[in-house]
Amino acid sequence: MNWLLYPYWRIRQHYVKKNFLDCLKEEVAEEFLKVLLQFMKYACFLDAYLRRSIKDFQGRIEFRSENKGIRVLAEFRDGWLNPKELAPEEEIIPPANASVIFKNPEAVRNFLLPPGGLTGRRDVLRALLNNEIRLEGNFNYIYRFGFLATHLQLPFLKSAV
Amino acid sequence: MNKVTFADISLKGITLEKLPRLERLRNVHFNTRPAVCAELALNMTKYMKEQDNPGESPELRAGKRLKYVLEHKKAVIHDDDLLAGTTTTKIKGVPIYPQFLGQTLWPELETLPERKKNPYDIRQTEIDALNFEVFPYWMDRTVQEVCRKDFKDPFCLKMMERMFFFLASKANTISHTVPDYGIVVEQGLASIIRKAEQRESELGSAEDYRKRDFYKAVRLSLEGVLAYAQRLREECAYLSEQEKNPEHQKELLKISEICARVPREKPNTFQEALQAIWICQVALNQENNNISISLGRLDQILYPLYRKGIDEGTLTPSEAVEGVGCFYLKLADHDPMSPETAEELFGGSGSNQAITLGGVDGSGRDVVNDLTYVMLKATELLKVKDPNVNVRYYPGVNPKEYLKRLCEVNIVTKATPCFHNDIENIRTLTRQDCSEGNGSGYSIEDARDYSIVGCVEPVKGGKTFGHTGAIMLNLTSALEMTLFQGKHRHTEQEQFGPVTPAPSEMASFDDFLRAFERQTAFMVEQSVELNNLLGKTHLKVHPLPLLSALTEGALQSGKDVLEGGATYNSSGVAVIGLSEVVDSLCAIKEFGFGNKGYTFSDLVTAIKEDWAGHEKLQKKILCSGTKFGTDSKEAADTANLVIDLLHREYHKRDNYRGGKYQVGYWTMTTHAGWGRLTGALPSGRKKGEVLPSGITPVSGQAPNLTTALRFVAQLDSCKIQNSHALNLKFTPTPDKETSISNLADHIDAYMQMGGLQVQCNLIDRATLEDARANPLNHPHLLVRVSGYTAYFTDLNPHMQEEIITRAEYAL
Repeated sequence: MNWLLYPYWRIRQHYVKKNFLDCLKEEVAEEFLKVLLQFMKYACFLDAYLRRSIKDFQGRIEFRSENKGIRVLAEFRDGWLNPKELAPEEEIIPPANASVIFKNPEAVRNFLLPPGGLTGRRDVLRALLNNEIRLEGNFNYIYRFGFLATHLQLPFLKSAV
Repeated sequence: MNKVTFADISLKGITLEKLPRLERLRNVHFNTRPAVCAELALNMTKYMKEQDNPGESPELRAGKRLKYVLEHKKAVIHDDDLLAGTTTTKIKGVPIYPQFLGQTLWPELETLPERKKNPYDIRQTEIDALNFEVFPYWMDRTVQEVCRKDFKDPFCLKMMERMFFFLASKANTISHTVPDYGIVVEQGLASIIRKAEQRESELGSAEDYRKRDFYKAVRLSLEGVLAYAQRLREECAYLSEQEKNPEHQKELLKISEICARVPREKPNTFQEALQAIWICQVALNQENNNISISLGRLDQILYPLYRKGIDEGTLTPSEAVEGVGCFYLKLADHDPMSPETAEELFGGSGSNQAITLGGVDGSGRDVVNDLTYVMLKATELLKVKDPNVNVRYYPGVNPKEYLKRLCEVNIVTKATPCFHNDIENIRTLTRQDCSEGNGSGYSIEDARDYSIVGCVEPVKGGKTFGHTGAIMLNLTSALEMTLFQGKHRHTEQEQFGPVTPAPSEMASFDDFLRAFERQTAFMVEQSVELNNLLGKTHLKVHPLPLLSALTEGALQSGKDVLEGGATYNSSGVAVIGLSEVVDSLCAIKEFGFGNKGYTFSDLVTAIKEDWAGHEKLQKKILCSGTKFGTDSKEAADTANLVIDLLHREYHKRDNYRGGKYQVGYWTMTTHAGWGRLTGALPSGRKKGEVLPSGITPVSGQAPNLTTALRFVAQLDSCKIQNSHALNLKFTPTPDKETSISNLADHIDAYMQMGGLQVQCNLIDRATLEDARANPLNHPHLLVRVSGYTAYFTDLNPHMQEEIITRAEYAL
């Protein structure tokens, strides 16, 4: 990590976070996933705990809606998270380790932003039980992603408490 | 020779006030919140990273791994305890098994203490250990993920992962069995090590190397247990040196001396026997997930040493109650790990370690003894959810006062023990009256010596590897797919089952029944395939040398229990939703095809619309007398038809060990979770309502107790080999003696009619409602769920509602 770039990353994160919070207010589900992953990307760089959490994580998680209208790849490689928007029919090579498939854009939002917003608790199983999402591939990659997302949410959870 | 010498079998003179140690330990138990313990996961991972050799056989790797884990397990004895050793390093711990489904806890590691239902404490160091060291290592190495990779993401696995067709538990646990604690008490582990060494030395050079490795693994795992016992010995000796109180010092020294002897050698005293079994149970819970490793007939196994102590004057009944009480509280020192939303399906479950009391011996003689009553006293005093106490009663052989005492304990504890009918269970296990072959293969002597696993499942303990909780099948999904041509309303347009005719194409009830049989057979096929694939994967990833050492047949055959080494091999299935499906089938016959002014399509339309606008039809169906649990012959025939169908379909398929599948009807708490996912059904049920528990009639549909009992008792129990859970809720009368007498009469009559099993909640609705509204006022209110006991306030809201609305009968 080049620490000389730290101020630049801080500023970038500030804007991405603002963008992310705006996105929450506007309830634009299509944008939500992309913005969240961007926010997470900067957080994984700037937050020492998250940085350590993804240090050796080599994995690719695909998020997509059932009709492939929304399709984003979260690639973890060499200590970085690289979100990448995918075209509906674009082939992922090598295949993703796991896929989270949403019934519709609202389900993306419901899954990633649980009831209660950033102070609510994400609930993979409940989303599965409600048939809002289905998972393919190795579930452990999704659980790991879930840890990162919850960690990102922690300040909001703590402020709610 | 078993005998009862107590003049007062209720042991009224023994109270918690007179056993202050037990009271203190019980208070500690109830006042301690469960805490995640990463010790086992860390030790396993450390071994795998630093010492595992993938070139070796799975058996040898497993033996070495377990030995390492046990050698490095922290020796803990809690203040005031009479038994050394703990399942985890915590007072009440939640162990993590990274090779199974430990990672499901990953997303909520940092928020566990704040979760609403059943929060866990967790230290930051343990979050770090799991997040950085343990879980990343196991991501591609768990049983479920290795199975997915090896068998190319099979359809049956995908089907399970949609959550509402069936669950195959092998991805998480293979426990659900009774190890041979008789051999621990009668011979000690050193004798098993010697046998393994001898077997290994007898192998010729041409013998399969895996057999040799199996014996080595058995030896290594047992050496690990002995190393753990030695660490306990050292710890107790050290603590005794530090102890200022001379009485405590003496106790610690005594425990240290005991751990120096057992479980290596056979125990010489009652306390030594309890310690020996406890150390082995701790060790088994390091090898296997801490779910339902059951203890067998402890009142029989421990009786000779109990009697010896009493006769020699070295033990009093009061001391025995204290010893058994300490043992029970040790069994309750751990909870199974449950991610937040799994609480939806299994919320509030303990580790479900069953203990079996009473009944008859191999030659059919009454074996109720003083120790049976001592253990019942401990059950009555402690009122803890674990162990799950099960009692056997042989009408006409076991004394009636014994049955009355069982009822008294039920009334005092409100929920335990659970009753099993020896006549029917023994007949079922030997299948003497069944038209088909001998399914369990039990000799009459072994059948008479059965003990209970987990919730309610009978097996010959120590000889059977039955994994009795292998599959949980949601039968309403088969009905659903029959109604919608192989699709499920919950998954909308996805085709899961075979395409069977649409309702408009069905001309008769027989057409519907044929389609139902096809969909049921399909679900059976998929669940069996998955269980068998997971079983093979389990053998590859995580063989079980210690459990094999404590299961008769494995040493003789040189095979791990996962490979079919046990004397008896079987797999257990639990079916959910029987009475709801039976009521639905009856309604389809009566109202869909029965010239009652409706067509089958009308009925399907009504349930698609959740009865809105079809209330008249719904009311007619609900008021029909053709219901599970009534005196309807039609309903009884339909129930036996469905039971026969499931038995045939499972029985014709072998498990991966060459054994048979055995079907039962118990639900744990899945009936609450699955009920929430199930749409309206032809029975008149509305969308999302809780399904009935176990084999219990739909709430409100069987108002007459005697009729309901007769209905369940007449079901063909030969085809219910994995037993059932019949849940009854009684309101006791103010007069305790009358309540005891009436309950005993009901149970005796039910058993005389042929009932297999029954369990009771003896608590009125008002108390339950108050506990739901004011949980802090009822923190440890014990209830029967469906097979196991739980604290009412730990249960999820659906499950609480189910228990509150269960049919209530007066005593």
